[in-house]
Amino acid sequence: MDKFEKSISSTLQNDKLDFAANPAIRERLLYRMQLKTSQTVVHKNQFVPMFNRQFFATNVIWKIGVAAIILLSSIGYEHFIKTDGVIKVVDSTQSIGLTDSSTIQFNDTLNFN
Amino acid sequence: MMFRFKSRTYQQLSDEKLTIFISNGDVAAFNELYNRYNERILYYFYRMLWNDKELAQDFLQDLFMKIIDKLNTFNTDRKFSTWVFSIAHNMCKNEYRKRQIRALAALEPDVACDAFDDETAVYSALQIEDVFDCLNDLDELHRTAFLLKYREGLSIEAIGAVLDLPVGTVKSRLFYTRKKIQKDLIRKLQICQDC
Repeated sequence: MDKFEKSISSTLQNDKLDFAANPAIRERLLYRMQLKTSQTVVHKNQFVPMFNRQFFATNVIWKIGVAAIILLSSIGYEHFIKTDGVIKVVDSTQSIGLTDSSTIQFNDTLNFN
Repeated sequence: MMFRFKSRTYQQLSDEKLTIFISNGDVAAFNELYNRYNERILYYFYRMLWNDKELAQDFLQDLFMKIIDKLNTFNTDRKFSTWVFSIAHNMCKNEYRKRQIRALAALEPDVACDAFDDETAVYSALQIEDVFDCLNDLDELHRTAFLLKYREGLSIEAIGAVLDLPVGTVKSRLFYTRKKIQKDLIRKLQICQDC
């Protein structure tokens, strides 16, 4: 900026209007804002769109991917492996799973190894 | 009806972030944005619309109405000030058209830049009304570019975005406006001295 530019810039920036914005303008604008906000429709308890998103064919690849990750990660999940009534006998050479029938609940399936 | 807000937190937000709140219906965010811009926009309209106070007030209200209604068209990756001044500029342009006042002054193709021997006198004689007297002879693009640059401190690129003009054109318009003001002020000064 040369001298003249600086001078012009400071003159303009120091220039103040001898009037301000009418306060009624702010009130009208805020009222309008409130009206606009109140027109926004709030949808409560709308399950259909959620189910639609879940079961429609859109983004199938992503959905399959997520399902595959859940499935794969559940394979090694120990709670799904039935070990009720199986007592592990371990010695230095081998590990044998023995079934103790007294510890099996009646409705459990017997596993004989 | 009176609106009062605790605007402490909003003051720390950028204009662009405030617009996100406003588009979600946050009235307090709008109030903060209005506080930031109302004086700047009022000044712009006042100076662009023949120093007409009433018209400037009306345009200020219309502009903020547009902001409320069209905020969804604002891209938050852009600068809010650029967007606002683009709207303001378009409103002025429409007003000029409506009144069929296209003050396209007979612009000389280029100004022979005389050496301004009496530059210091020009600086001291620089009064705001003199500057605007000179500016009133120019078209709205020159005036807008000039105000945005020297009043609002916008960059050349931002002014280009507001006016939808290439950077080179903005530069040349600013250069031309500066030279014209310098020339007119010197002429005025000489007339005063002769008197």
